[in-house]
Amino acid sequence: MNDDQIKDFLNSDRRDLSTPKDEWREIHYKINNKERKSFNRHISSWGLGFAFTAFVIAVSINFLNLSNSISPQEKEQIAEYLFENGTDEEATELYTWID
Amino acid sequence: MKKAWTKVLLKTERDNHDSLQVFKKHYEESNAFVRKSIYWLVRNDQIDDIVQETYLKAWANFSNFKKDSSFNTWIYRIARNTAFDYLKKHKEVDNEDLEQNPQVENNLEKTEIISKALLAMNPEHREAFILYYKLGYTKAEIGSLLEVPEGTIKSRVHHAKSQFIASLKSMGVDYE
Repeated sequence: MNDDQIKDFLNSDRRDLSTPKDEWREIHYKINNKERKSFNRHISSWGLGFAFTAFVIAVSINFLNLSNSISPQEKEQIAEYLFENGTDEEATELYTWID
Repeated sequence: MKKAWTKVLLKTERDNHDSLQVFKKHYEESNAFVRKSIYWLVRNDQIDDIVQETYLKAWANFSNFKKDSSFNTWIYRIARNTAFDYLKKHKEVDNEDLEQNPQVENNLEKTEIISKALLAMNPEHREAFILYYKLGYTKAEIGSLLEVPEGTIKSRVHHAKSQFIASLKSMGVDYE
């Protein structure tokens, strides 16, 4: 069987391979659908990001308020405790904080 | 702020719309080739899903397409990978269908003979065989299309041809 005979044999398969009429419309629809989902995901991740940032800010503010609500005497007690039981660096850091 | 945000959204929308118009033009020009390539690789009439999946993957990666290169070459690689994935998933089912349907065995038509002979080949050999004998590419062109040395393509086509002839003979078709 030579090359031309192989080509002829393959060409005997004449199945209709015409493109369905609405193919582009379907592809276009699926593309839009995917884009919309990806956009929504994008927005959701931004939303989550904002929510997380807000949470971190709220916690920080709360912590600062909490820090300020400790009286100087209590701070000194904590510093003394750390001076005796903690490392030198911790105690020094705390004394700096009190000042 | 709101105005700037609206501008950004509108620009994104317009860019997207322009890209889609370019993509649609490529679709119209490449569609027949893609459909034909997939059909000959999978030998199945139900290729609409594979064609659609190919174009959806192409759109998802359209920003990676280098505008100065050939769209057909680029999308062919996506199409053949999608077709091979399909074949891997459906291999067992298709074999069962052929084995359990004695009518197919007893009443082989030419297209079925071609399908059987092609599907018996290793997918890479089949691909080289189809590109060479059916889609009219030269061996050098197939080499650059698949990014494989020309010598490898010559070897694949040679093996595929021998196997094709042997399969035809085993099904009672003899051209000698």
